[in-house]
Amino acid sequence: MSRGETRGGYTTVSANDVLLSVTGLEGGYDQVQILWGVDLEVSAGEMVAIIGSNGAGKTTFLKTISGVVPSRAGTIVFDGIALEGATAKEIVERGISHVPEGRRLFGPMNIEENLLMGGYARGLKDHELAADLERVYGIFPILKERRKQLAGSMSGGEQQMCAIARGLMARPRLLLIDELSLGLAPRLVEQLCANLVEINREGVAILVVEQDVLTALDLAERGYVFESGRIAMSGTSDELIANQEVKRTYLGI
Amino acid sequence: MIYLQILVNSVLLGGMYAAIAVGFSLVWGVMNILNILHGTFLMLGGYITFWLFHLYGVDPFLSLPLSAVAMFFLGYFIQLGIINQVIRASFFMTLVLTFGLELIGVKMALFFWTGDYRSVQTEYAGYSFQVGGVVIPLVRLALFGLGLLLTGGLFWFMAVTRTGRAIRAVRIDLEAAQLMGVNPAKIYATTYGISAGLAGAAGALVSAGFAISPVTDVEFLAKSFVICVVGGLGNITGALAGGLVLGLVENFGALYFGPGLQNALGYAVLLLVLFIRPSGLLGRAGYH
Ligand SMILES: Nc1ncnc2c1ncn2[C@@H]1O[C@H](COP(=O)(O)OP(=O)(O)OP(=O)(O)O)[C@@H](O)[C@H]1O
Ligand SMILES: [Mg+2]
Repeated sequence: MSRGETRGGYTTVSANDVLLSVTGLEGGYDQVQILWGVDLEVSAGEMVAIIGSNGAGKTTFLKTISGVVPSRAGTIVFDGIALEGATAKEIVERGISHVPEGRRLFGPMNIEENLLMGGYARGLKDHELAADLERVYGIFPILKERRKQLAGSMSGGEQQMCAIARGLMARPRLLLIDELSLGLAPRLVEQLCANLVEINREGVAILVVEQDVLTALDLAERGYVFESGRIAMSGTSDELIANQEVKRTYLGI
Repeated sequence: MIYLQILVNSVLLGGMYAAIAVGFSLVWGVMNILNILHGTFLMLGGYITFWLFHLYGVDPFLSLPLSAVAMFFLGYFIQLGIINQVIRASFFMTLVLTFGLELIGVKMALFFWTGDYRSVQTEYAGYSFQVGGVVIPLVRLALFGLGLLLTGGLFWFMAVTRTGRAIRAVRIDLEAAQLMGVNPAKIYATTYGISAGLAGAAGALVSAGFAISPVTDVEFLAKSFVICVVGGLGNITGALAGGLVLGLVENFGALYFGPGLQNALGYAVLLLVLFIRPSGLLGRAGYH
């Protein structure tokens, strides 16, 4: 893998520098195997979507990458280093942050405490994290207004913002987002998509699982279609939208 | 006047009781373990204080931090090395395991130190002063103050520090906490260590004011249980409330029914609370 050149103290990465490379990934839960050989790639700074029907294994796939579900075979290489045997903690530390399905905020904690938990892996004191808090509050100003409010008492949209902001507090290079729009009003989804574009422009690669195919392919440059724990199809968003199979199965046209 | 005196005695005792029970409550609330070893840490903390005083003349209040630190490490490694092996096992399994360890602890204490009651006789043990006719023994006041300090310290720790927040996060949503980079095994060991450290400190308090023996173990385990259930499991203020209630019940109980029935009255209140308000006086919050 080629590293980008260094300019003015910043490392710039060329567009097709592979950040995450998954090959032949198999995994699942105690007795059941769910993933049957998944190959997938995300380049540095890229935005990629995963679509697929219920139970296809999308969530399991993300959990296997972030290390809370063990893999059985295959490799996950992140930034040139194999993640084999790495714990969830080590994986966040290396720069993969996972915004889980259903947000999974710490409901009885306030927003700011949730965000500070997001920065936990970095091992910094709260006051050292203050600058990062301001940075995510800059993206989601509403969270700053509500920072003392209990996360469990907020609306679904605010909770999703908080979950994404919490994910950003780990300073990831790759953000995994599971079910961005589920249960949210269209106007909120638009807002969140705009937020993701902004985050992505700052150089964070995003791999987003999204059940609404049009939102997914509108947002991302490329997409993968999951079916029964395998990749059934992949391509650019335009290719996938034009595909008869995708039209029939996911768009009902 | 006698009522006021007993009221004051009860409150002073209650402060120490809170410190005795709060670590027990922490482990129960966060890890869902009924930690039978709690009384053992308390007894060992008491013996550390006694021996340091007896052999080297170290003041019990000075050896308190030492008891606390020693028990923290003992607890940390017992959890990491032994209890952690069955952390996914049932409530009953961890109960049996800690019960087994407790038996070993008590038998060893009996073997090495005999069943004799030991007490720390400092030269200021008998000091007291009067406020409006109420006698306030100096040592009891110190036990009260330090008990509140320990309990308040845990409250502060859980609310404000990075580790305290991680403990709460693990309690609320284990998998989400893992995604944040929290290592559950380490957090469980730390939680257990803190609980044991608090018990060690509370044991030092007990031995500064009361005679101790290996059976102190079971006695204070029982008290911790009553306090936690009465006050409401899983919150620190619950331990404080439960401690005060137990202090009141024991002292006023001794006045009306004689001193022999103290413990029985504690259990009576436990049953009463379970009957009227099963979630405890302050409810079941669970260390959020
Ligand atoms: N903890 C678990 N233990 C056992 N099986 C599980 C567990 N979690 C999920 N599964 C099973 O794994 C399969 C894939 O589930 P997964 O959640 O990965 O799918 P998904 O593509 O994310 O679906 P959805 O669109 O509903 O979120 C399902 O059949 C599900 O029942
Ligand atoms: Mg899913």
